[in-house]
Amino acid sequence: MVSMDIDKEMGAVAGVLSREQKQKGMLIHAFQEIQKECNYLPEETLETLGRELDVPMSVVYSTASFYKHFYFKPRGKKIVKVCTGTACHVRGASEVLKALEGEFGVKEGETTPDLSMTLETVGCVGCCGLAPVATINEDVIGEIDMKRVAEIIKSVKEDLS
Amino acid sequence: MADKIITMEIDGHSVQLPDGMNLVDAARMVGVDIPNLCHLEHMRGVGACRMCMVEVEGSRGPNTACTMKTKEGLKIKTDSAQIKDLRKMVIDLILSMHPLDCMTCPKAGVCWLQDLAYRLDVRESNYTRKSFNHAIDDANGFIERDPNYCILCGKCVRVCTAQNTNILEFMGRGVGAKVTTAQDKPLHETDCTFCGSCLDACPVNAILESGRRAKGREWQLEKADTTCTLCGSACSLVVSEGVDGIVKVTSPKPNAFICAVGRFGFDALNADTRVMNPKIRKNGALEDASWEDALDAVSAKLKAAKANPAKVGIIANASVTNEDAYMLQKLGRAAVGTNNVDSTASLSDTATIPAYLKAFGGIPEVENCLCDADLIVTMGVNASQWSRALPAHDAKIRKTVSGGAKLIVLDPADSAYAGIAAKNLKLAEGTDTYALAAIMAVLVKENMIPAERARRTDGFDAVKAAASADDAAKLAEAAGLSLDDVKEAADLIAKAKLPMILYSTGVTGKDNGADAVLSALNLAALTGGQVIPVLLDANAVGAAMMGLSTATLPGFAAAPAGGMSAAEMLKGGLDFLYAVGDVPVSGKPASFVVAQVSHMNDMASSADVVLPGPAFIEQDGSIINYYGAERTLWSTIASEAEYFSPWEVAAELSERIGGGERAEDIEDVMAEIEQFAMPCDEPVLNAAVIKPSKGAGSASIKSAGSMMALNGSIIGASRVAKLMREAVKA
Ligand code: SF4
Ligand code: SF4
Ligand code: SF4
Ligand code: FES
Ligand code: FES
Repeated sequence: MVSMDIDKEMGAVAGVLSREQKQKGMLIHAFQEIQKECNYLPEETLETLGRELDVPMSVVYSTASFYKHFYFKPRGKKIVKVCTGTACHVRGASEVLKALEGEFGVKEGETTPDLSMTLETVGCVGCCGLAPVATINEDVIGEIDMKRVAEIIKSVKEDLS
Repeated sequence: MADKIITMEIDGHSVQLPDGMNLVDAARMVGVDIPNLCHLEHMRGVGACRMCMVEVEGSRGPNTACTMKTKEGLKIKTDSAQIKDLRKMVIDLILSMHPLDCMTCPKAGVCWLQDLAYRLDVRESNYTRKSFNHAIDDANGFIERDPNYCILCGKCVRVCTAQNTNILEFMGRGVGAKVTTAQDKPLHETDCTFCGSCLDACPVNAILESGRRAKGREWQLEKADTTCTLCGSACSLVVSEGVDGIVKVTSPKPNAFICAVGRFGFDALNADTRVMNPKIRKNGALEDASWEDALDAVSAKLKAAKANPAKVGIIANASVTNEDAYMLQKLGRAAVGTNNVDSTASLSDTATIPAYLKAFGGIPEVENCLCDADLIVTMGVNASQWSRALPAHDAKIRKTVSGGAKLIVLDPADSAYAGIAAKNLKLAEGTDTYALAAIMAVLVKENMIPAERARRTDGFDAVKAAASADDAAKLAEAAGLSLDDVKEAADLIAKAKLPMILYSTGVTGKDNGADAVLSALNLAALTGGQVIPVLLDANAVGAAMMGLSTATLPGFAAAPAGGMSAAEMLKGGLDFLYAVGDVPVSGKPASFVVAQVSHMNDMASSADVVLPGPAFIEQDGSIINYYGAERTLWSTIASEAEYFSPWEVAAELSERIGGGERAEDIEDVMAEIEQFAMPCDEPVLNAAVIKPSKGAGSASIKSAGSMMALNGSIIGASRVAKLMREAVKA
């Protein structure tokens, strides 16, 4: 699966690290690889990882949960993030969120059962001028009105066929 | 080790303290209480809560005392106005996220947060209140976790991690961070052993005993210090009693260990299987009787049996007190005239007593705590928190290792310690003496130990001479080890300041076990180390010291040969047997059996007379633990059972069968025991050259399963029995 020879990967640096630090390094590296492959960190894979590296599950999960970008549940193909920063909030972000939640039957933070989409919220994404704003994967969509909401919905569903 | 003493200043007073000691712990020694929330005594400080801030002369900002060490000339202020303000701010912040329900909170009175808020007079938080509505984990029947109270001090995480159970951890970060299990699973879906170490460590109400609510405010509880006798770890316990009985059992220190059995097993005291009053067998069935009638029946039988003393026997579970053990053997030896007196200790260990009698003429107290060791050698030690064999020993070994000590495992079996061992030496079966001789040969020949290390011993030159004449390579080979492995082990031992050798049933059950123990004592003496016998019975040492053993008379005098051991007596054929506590038996070992038990067991079921006895927590008196140290037991009256202590029954029977006037109270017994000078105050090892030999056989009771084998009737009557069944499955 994942190459785990941390001493080789880290070269001379490995020598000055404590066992805990090395373990953490190895874990994070492994998480990244696993997530690249599975799109999230499946429980069984983490259990195998813990066993292999002789790290307790509590430490595995503690380390992973420290980072926002590791996920413990499957993620959708499209990640839709509705900005709820101040500007977007004022200009109706919650309507946008509600509409999407209603359409897909998921709450913020959840993924549709068919794994087509994960709905999330995010603090200001830095395009306040375009508020309300959402992102689909890397793309930013601004000035969202109900028409744009329909477009977002369409783009998520399109991908399914 | 003599610590260097330094002089420093605390709040303007000059004080003398050991050098390099944790500042919070050190200040406490001189009566200064530096407020703290995340510090665990004798563990490394982590500086997480910022409560322990002090002003340090010559340093700009305040420092956290828990991460500082005492040193010569240090000057600190623990109570300045500035420091107080900072502490207030910390409490203020914590309170903004903490339920303010001290009026019903079960921890009120022992809550550190409440105490500090009171001391600093913070009534309510100045910050906006935040609450998280974390789910409560309370379905396991032992421990309730409510993260809404958690102040994220991390103490539970650190105790759980240090003992290697690794269940609790910080999850997430920032404001939403939480201390919980992997994936926030309820405790009973994890590998949690329900030791409750986290309970004792938690300074607030985030971790609580199940069923503790509304059972009495903390300050209304009566507390009694006692000692658990359910296994050889013999842990110190604090029993808290409310108006309706025992409310909880805790460990006296927030980072000491007691297991689930000692902590939660007290419900057994009122179980259905409890023997409430004496019973006499009539027409084949046991029927309730008065003490008077029961004692009449027993003494009549014993008087008749006395005519043939070789057919009378007494066996007690070695969880009985010293006073019990002393009076039981006196009943046998003095009133009946038999040497068939023994305890269950001989069922797992026939090596320790003979070896120590030869080496020291007794069992001296181990000078240091296992926690002081910087190197541990385990020989045939199979302790486990998970399978519940000497759980506290397992936790102590693991804690000492996670605190930095190295571990060498010498074991023919696959050791559970292999994973944390610096050196795992897997021996050929029964070759402990070869392995030890090989190590000593390397140490002596390669001049690896400074001369001043060796301890006061007699006959030690002969041991050294023998070691230097030995062929280490050959010995290693005989033990199935490579010479390199032996050398590495020898090197670790030589470099250690305080090596401690622990041996248990893997060694003591072998026919050459005594030789292995003597070899271990030689190795320890050679390297300035110590040996700790890991015994399965709580009072194995005390029973032998009191003479309840076929090998010893009171005070460790050698007993006349010919007494039947417990194993021999249990084979059957006696006329009369008095058995106290759980004594493993199949069938009826004597024509007339008197069983004194707290709970029905196999022996009692086939007995002719059953007498109620005290259960753990209900015993009064003393025991000698595996360190050779005396521990006091204070009884808590927790049941309605009409029991008398075994010593009282023994004294009464003695008098009735013509053994002289009986001792009236426990002080009389203690005074009588005192007359036997215990010879081990200034132990000098009589070192003897041990010829390596191959050992065979195994103990009839081994560490694995020992708790149930030795105290199953009590443990099986408690809710913890469920954990024991799971442990067997695992
Ligand atoms: S009960 Fe013991 S094993 Fe379980 S979480 Fe608490 S400290 Fe860890
Ligand atoms: S549960 Fe208790 S001991 Fe653990 S971090 Fe929270 S407050 Fe501290
Ligand atoms: S059963 Fe053993 S480990 Fe558990 S508390 Fe009692 S003496 Fe300690
Ligand atoms: S608040 Fe939404 S982009 Fe700034
Ligand atoms: S006790 Fe020192 S920072 Fe918590």
